[in-house]
Amino acid sequence: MNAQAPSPAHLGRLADKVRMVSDKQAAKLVDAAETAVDGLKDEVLDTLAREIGRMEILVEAATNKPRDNAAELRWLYEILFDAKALAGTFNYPLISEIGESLRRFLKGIQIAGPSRLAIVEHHVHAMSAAIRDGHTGNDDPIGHAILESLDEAKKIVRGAAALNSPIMRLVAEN
Amino acid sequence: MTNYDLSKLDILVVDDSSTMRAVLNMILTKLGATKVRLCNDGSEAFKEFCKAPSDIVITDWVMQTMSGIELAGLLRDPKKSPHPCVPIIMITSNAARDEVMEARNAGIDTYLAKPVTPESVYNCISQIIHKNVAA
Repeated sequence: MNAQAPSPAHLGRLADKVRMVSDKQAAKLVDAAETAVDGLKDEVLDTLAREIGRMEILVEAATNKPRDNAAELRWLYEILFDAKALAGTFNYPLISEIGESLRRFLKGIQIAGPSRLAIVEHHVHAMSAAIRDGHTGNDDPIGHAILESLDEAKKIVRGAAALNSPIMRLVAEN
Repeated sequence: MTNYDLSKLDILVVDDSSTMRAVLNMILTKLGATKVRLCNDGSEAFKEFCKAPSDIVITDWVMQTMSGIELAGLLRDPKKSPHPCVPIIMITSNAARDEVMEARNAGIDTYLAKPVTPESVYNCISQIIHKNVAA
C-alpha cells in the first residue's frame, strides 16, 4: 500500500478544484439527472421482476430443505436488499416497503422452517403481484391492504415465538 | 445552500450492487462529474484509492467483502492511507442511533439516505464541499 501522510496539497484539493454555480445552473443539472433516472424506470421494473423471480426460486429451494436453508436465505437477503434500494431510488414505494418489511423479518434469521418460509413467500409473491398488476405505489387501498396483511402475518409468527409454550415456540421457529 | 461545479472532482463510488453502481455513475455524470471511479467492495476501493486518492469517497454501508465502516477505518488510518482527510459519504438505510455513532466514530463525514435521488446526491456533495472550502 502507498502509505503516506496527508500533504497540504491533499488537504486543499477540494477548494482548488471547485467553483460555485448559480441555483439555476444547479437546478438544471439536477433536472437532467432526474430525467435520466426517469428514463430508466421501465428497465428497472424489468430488472426488479427478474430479481423477484430469483427470490421465488430461492424460496422454493429453501422450502425443499427446511433444516438446512441458511445459504438460500442469505442469498435471498442480498438480492432483496439491492432490489429494495433500487425500487426506492426509482420511486416504486410499494415494492420498496414490502421489501423493507421482509428485510426486517429476515434479519437475524439463520434457518427458516415452514411458518417463517410462508411469511417470506407471501412477501415475495406480494412484490411479484404488485409489479404484475401495476400496483407499485403505496398510496392506494390495495397497497395498504397488502402491507397490513403482511404485518399481521408477521405478528402471528412473532406472537407464537413470544408465548411461553414449547409448542408455540416450535411453530414460530419453524 | 451553496452550489458547486463537480466537473473537476475525482469521485470514488463503492457499492457491491452493479445496478446501484451504474445508477450512481449515471447520476454523478449528469450532475457534471467527469471522473467517477467505480469499485464493488471496500478492499478493491482501498487499493484504487492508494493508487490515486480521490477527492470524495461515496460508499455503501453493507457490502460483502469489506463494509463501508471498515473501508472508512482504512481511509482514515494515517499509516495506511495516502489521504486520511478525504471526505467520506456513507450511503445507508441504517439510521439507528448506535449505527450512527458507529459511523461517526469511523470518521464518516455525512450520510446519503437510501433511496438516493439526484437531488440528495447533489446536496450531499455540495454540503461536503462547502464544509471543506469554508474550513
